[in-house]
Amino acid sequence: MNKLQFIFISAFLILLSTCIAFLDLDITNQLKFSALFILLIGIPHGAIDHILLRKEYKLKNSRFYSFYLGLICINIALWFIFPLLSLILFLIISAYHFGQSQFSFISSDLIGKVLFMLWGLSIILGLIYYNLDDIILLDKLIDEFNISISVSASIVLKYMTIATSFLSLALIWYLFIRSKIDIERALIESILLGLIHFAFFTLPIIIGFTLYFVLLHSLKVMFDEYRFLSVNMRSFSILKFIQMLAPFTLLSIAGCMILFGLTLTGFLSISLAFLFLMLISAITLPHSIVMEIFYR
Amino acid sequence: MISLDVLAIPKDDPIAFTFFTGYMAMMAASVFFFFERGSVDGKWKLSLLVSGLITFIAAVHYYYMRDYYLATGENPTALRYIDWTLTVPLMCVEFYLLTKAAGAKIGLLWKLIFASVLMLVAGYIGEAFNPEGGSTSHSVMWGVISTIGYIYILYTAWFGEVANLSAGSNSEVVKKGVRTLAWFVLVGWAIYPIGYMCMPGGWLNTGLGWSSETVDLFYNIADAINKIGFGLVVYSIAVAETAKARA
Repeated sequence: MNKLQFIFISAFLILLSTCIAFLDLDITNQLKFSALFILLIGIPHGAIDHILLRKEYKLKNSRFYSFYLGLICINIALWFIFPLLSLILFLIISAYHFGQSQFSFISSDLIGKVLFMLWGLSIILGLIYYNLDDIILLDKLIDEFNISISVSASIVLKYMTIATSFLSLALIWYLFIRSKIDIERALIESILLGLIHFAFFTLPIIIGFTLYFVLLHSLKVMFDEYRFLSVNMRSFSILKFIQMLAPFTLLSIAGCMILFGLTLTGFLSISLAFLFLMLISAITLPHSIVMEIFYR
Repeated sequence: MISLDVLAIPKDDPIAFTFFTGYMAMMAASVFFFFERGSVDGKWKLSLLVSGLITFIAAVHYYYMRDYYLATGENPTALRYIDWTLTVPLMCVEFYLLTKAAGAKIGLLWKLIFASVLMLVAGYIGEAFNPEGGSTSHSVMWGVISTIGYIYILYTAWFGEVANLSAGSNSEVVKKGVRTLAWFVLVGWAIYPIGYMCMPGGWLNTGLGWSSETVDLFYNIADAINKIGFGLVVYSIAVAETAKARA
């Protein structure tokens, strides 16, 4: 177990012992609680994609920004044309990305990639299934969608969650049997998968997701990025790392606030929740590609 | 004519079954550890004695808990916490004894004992002194305090003083053994906060309807695995180190 995983477990235990006090917190208040953590840790973990990609490919700024912003624009356009398809693609890309960052210590061969996808799908499907009522409520906030979740759909979701979880565990232990990971790693990953599901099941949806996203995903990726840069750059320090993260973090926060303001004032005629989903998805696509190259 | 009171164990009562098996398993483990003291070197005798005491204290309590459960059908909360308040600090003592050769100071021992007593006393107050029907705020407050004690022990075993001392030890057996005990704390002891949250007023009780009766079975099984398993790890270290010293 590393320190990040320990922090996750400790934070989860504390939240679990107190969560009865905020079980009925509505989505808006959950977002207010989580916003600070997502802004301070969630956004920055993707704020040096330009540096990471340039270290790998020595790209010129113009080429990088054309690639990155181009993908963002294409993604946004897709959201307006095919919102439901974009949502599904976003979930699939996110699943792979979450799995990849969780298992960055194994090689990205076929088994590895399958594990990344299964693990990520397991936690995303679990998040949706355990919080179906909240998802339906969220959907009502998004005029652009009109998803109705029938009883049979929820049953399918349930079995997909179970299947992806069991397959993920099977692959983890297969990797142990093949001596690709040691027994401690296999045990801790199995426990963590269970704990993440338990967190998504017991905690309110946004709080549960923030706990995973901030502690196990974003902080972990930032540690990996820091370690990589400290090896590849001279006299690298935490201060220098923060200075690298700051520009695009602040730009992203400012950009989001402007867009949210335009939406709230009615200048942009889309729902706030749709805007939020679209922005997260738009940035996830190029970020996932950069991280795929980084981890390779 | 002498009439004997025969304890009847219902066929469909796994909790009663595990109270009986738990009691006997702990007693057997105690006898084993006490007798095996004679086959290890001097410096390991104390560790095995402590292992034997842990399981013996648990065996006695399980004897009484068995009777209490059969007579009332209720969770023997007070007896459980009395047992844990004695045995869990003793398990922390084992960490100190194992790392003593690597330089553990008496301060470590007291810190671990304090954290374990805090964890258990807070848990007991939260569970046993809960107002009728279960008060959520009472449960939450004492639950958080208890969890802090648990997290401190977990940190010490995985990253703190115990982990560092064990890493600095020149014995691979001790390193591996302390790591295994750290796993016990992470996985084995997790049953206790889960059980706490099942009591009236606890979140698993009010949120999901889980009751403390549903976890008695898991407590009994987990207790046996934790205590006997803990002792067996210490025993394996003692035996391996003794063999190494005599070689």
